[in-house]
Amino acid sequence: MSEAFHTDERELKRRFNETELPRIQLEARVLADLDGRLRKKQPLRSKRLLAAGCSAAAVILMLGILSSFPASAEKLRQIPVVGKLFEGNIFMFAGDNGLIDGQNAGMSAALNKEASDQGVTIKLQDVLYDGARLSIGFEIISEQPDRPLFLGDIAVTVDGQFKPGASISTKPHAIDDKRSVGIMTIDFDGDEHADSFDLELSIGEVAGLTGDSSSPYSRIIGEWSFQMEVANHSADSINRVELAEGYEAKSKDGHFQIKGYTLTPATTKVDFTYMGETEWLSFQIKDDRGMIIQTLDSQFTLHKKNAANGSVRFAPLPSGTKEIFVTPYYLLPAKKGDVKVSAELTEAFPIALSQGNVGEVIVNDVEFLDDKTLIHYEVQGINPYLQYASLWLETVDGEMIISDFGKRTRVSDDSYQFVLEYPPLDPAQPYVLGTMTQTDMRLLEELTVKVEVSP
Amino acid sequence: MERSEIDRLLQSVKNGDRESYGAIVAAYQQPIFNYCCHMLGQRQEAEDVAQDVFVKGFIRLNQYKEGTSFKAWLFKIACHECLNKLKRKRIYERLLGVFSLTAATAHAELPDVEPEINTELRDALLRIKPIDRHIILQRIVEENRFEDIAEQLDMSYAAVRKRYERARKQLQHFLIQKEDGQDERSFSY
Repeated sequence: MSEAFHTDERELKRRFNETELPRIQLEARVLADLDGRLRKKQPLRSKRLLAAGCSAAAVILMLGILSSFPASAEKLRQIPVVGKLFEGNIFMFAGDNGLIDGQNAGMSAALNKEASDQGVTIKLQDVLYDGARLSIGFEIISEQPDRPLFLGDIAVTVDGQFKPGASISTKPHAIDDKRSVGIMTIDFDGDEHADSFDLELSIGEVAGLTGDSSSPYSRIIGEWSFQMEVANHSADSINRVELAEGYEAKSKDGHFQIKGYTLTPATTKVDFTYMGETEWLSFQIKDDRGMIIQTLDSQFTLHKKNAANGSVRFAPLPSGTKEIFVTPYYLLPAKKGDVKVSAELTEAFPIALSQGNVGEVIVNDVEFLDDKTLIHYEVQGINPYLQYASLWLETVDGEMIISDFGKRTRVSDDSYQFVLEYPPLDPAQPYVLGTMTQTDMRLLEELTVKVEVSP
Repeated sequence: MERSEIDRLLQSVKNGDRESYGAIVAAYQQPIFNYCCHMLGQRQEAEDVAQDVFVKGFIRLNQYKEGTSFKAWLFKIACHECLNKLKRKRIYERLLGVFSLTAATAHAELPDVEPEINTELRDALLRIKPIDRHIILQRIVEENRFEDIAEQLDMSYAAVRKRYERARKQLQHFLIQKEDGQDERSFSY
């Protein structure tokens, strides 16, 4: 050891030297992996669950939805009613507003493909490709009650060319112990202007949550392969603009530049570069009326010196939007986790529940109808599309009434007012309203960039 | 292995002789695996990540700058792979934890004790930040210069030097705690 090392460093070195790690032989494995990769275009062998594979920002958005509820897996297993009735259309059930609008506008195509292995069937129902995103509705059905949720170890091949750098994100919804549905969104390096291409997906793993504290996770290794033709059915409606320099802002936090944008009837996509800290980075868009547009996901590539370039996707802009304001922000995850906040449901409306520094959710009315229960509420705060998902009704014993985050419909264009639909409930029974404190954020308002958008 | 020999093997690989890459793997597999083991604290994961490091090294070979240390370049890939692994694990744990508040804690996911690994050192090492862990391993185990570690991490020399001193003191503190039986906390990632 170098003479420059101090005594305590030598002592540490001695401890490391005393640590007997097993001998390892990797040559054959590495060469076989490389052979297999070249022959079969296999993905990296390491298992990457979809949910964990997407960008941090996208994960956080998903966490926001998931962390809307405090129910443990065991409690979830006891809840018989899914919040939003799954009537068979995955885009309508699990999709964002853009997917729903896109499907209604005829931009999606039916796939109706399925593959089975190891007692698990994966079905792909519809695909929507609009040049700004490629989203597929999927369903997982397991013979065993292992609550399948996540797809992993996925290889993506486009026009016969393996795409090792493809990234896939998903938002799964459990229907029951054996079934879930969700939307997967696939990104890969390729020709964004292509009108159509052949897509192959090879899924190698399905993972789920058993709810059993001694063995909480299930993992099924298998092979589920799909081939499909994907076409852009909205090519005439795409507005893709590359921006010259000048759409940028600098501050002590960083340097933010918008490189271009894509507008489709289903998606708003903004391409950017960012110089600065990128952990927990995300972006917010406001339209010219000051209304926030729902963020879908984001992804970026990190370069040296904290430089990143990538894109962030939002729901489609309201018609008539002439300019947008894009602002980066940092999420500030709480060290101690989110906290449940509850209030007894009375007729003393409005009932406000604090969601921490982010804002509050205000319940204005609850209607007990013969066929359903309607909860009318509004969110006020800095991250309304994170906040709106966190409101539920439970019994006085703390038992959730529905398992999903339910059917929520925005009912106002100029405020964040929603209606949450529940099954019919006995109005004579006492109920409790619940929410969770939400992840705080720091808007980098000095980095806001205004962009005029062409209709 | 001498640098000239490595350069010769790399040239063969670039010329299409994939078997030569096997010799490179053989030369560096143990230090890379040991590093991953210390970074992740889990033998099976370390094996998987070490394999990925060499596969990515092959795929990205055109990004390696000739004349620089190939071993240092591999460690840089290993560092990113381990940090990504830990980050994904942390996010996944949080995702699962949301569903199963009673079951999914990082502590519960800690591996069973593997007798050949110095558990005191491993546990203490896992309590310091992953980046600091990398700095400790590169400095103490690999005896790399701070300049090279700074290059690996895209950090300034001063920042690495400062983090090293802090991390070393933390590690020693945790080791002493462990010896005195004071360590009752669970791991945070």
